[in-house]
Amino acid sequence: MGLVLESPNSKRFENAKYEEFIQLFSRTRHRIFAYIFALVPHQADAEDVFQRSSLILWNKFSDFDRERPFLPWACSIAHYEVRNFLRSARRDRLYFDEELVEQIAVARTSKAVESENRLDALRLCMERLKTTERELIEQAYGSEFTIKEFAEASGVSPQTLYNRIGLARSKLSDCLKMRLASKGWAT
Amino acid sequence: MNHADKNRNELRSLLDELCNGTLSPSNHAELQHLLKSDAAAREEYLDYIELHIDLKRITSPVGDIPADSTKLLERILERPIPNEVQLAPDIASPRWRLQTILPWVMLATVAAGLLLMVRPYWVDKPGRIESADNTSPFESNAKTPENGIEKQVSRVRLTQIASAKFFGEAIPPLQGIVPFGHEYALSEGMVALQFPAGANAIIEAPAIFVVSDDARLLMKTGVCSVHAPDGAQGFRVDTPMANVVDLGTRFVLSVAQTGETKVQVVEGEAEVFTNSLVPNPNVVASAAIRLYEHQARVIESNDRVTTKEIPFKASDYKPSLPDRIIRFEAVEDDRGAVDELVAVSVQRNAVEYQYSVDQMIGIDLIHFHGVSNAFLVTSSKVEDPSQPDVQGPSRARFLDRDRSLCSGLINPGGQAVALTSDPVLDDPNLPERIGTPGIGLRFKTPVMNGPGPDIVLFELQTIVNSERGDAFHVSPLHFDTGLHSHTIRRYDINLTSPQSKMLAPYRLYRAREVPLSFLQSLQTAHFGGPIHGIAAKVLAVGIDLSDLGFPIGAKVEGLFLQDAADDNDSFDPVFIAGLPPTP
Repeated sequence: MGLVLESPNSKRFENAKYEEFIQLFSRTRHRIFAYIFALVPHQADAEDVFQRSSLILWNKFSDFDRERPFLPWACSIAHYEVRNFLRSARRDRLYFDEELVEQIAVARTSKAVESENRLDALRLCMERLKTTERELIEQAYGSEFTIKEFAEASGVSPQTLYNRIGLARSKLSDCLKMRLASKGWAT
Repeated sequence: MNHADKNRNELRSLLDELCNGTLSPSNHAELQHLLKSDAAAREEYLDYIELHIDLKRITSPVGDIPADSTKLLERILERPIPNEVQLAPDIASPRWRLQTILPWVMLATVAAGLLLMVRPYWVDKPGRIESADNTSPFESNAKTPENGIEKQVSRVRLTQIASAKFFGEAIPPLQGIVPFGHEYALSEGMVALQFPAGANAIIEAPAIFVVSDDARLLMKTGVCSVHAPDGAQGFRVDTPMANVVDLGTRFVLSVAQTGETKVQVVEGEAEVFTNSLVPNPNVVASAAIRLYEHQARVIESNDRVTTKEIPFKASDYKPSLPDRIIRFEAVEDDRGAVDELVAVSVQRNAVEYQYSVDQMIGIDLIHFHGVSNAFLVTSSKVEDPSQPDVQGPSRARFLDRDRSLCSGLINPGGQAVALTSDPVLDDPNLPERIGTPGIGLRFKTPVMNGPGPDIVLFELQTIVNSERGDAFHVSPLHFDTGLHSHTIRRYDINLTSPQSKMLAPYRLYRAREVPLSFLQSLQTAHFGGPIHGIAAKVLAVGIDLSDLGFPIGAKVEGLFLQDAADDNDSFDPVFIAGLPPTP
């Protein structure tokens, strides 16, 4: 059976609500996903929770207080979905325990700010990497192939590639913090 | 390493494993313990996760959100989502991974496109420069308002590089603007800077330099050759111990790590101000030491700054960067990845020449002795027959008959010590004879040894292999008197050069019959097996026949190439051609 929408008062009202939701959601969806991933650091599981949360966000959008920012509200719903997910999650996967998830959620909420500044700063930091480091990061993150496949094809051990990627990621982390701090922006 | 650093490194190591998806159960427990017990660790964790997610956003053309969320919302809303908020599929996600395996180089082209996306920082600046005013560079010129603050904008450009490498950062793009105040550490090679009034500075590694403004360069250490033509008088180079003001001249500065500065005037004249004469570095004092043509002085400091005359040495001045392959043009796909070579720009005797492929002198492969992992590589547009191909065209064509940079006979054999006598070549009449490992080639017409590079060689190099390119020996086919082998260990255009380019999709085939001892067996060997493709770039190097002992004007019929066997990676030639004589 298809999903049932809240009954709209009018088509016009529904359209306006739709436009508003799409605008808010499209602006914050990456941060919502990052929030979920921090609590459930497993790509496929985080995507599952993100999908469920997206659905619930729309279904509960009528309850959203327009006087408040959208992202913390969205994260609170996502947090609830994470709890639900972890209750029924597979036991063969490694998850953080409930206490740590709550600790991270608290810390995450305080940092849940939208920041295109971060991306701009990160792009600049990418430019500061050595060409080979930058290209390796782009391969690792931007391609559909796994590091093991890449290693096999290039004749380099996977651990060597992981080490190089870790080094580049660490450089980026330091650079990002320095750039954001120098601009007075929170990381 | 202190305790905090150790903890931080341990945490980052665990976070890297988490991001890589390689975190073991025991390390997962350790990470959980660390995070639960330390608020600062949780902060670091969140920052690292945020970085991990953002890296997906900026490196993947489609971001990190699964496609199904679009469909989900569409289904909820029973209408399509506007284009500007479409949630595109995430090819980086295993769940949404394309079932059809694309060649690696498709991804390389994506990476190349992304490189273009991150370039605007440098590329945008020239546009801003053009609107800058033309007042004296020593004044507060070229200002642009930014948040109410007047900010100087550089018009100094990086115009040439030769085997350059900067410590800790990428090489800026050629013709890009060099920002004021940024300290560059040139660890290898040479670069040329062009200042707006016409002054040209050639800097040799190792060097640390800063462009201070549109007419001033700070050399903290290293050698810098300056040519300031008419109109560029007043160009100034600062060192820790001196300021040298050009009065229409050519001069060379050598700055030691101690700050000791040698100034040699090649022609014209220059004024030298020592630090003791210049209390304010922004104000040039009236008193100065004036140096004329072929005069040289060293400024040094013991208890106080002193100067003394030294012998002039003309060879210290570098009028140009070394002769080399400067750049190349190739047919690019819509993402900037290259396949067929179009033209090569080469500096020969300090003069730049451009040669189209049609002007170059082709080769015939006369010998190929591969190693156990010998490969054939072809453009994805060309498919090598999977069955033995006795009747069809020779596979040698992939190296000696086409102009594709995506095709060649890679991983030829080699040896650590270069040849000192004639190589043993393939002979169809003596099939039992074991040939010398390597590649033998004969030019379609003899190549005349001229100044600078006489032969161009392109190599395929994957992005995780040596940045410098794979070393190889070049030897004459016949060791006549005065001739010797030459080893090339550094490419003119290497993996980190801005002129290197991503290769278009290619196919890789492993030879089943190894070693490939003879050219004939290369043709009949079965190259079946899985097709691989990994992100690779094409590198280029010029071969100067003078380096093999050939006199200028000598006509050379062929060469023998061998991998230098200095590491596990063999060199991978994909295009070799001779250059016509210089006019």
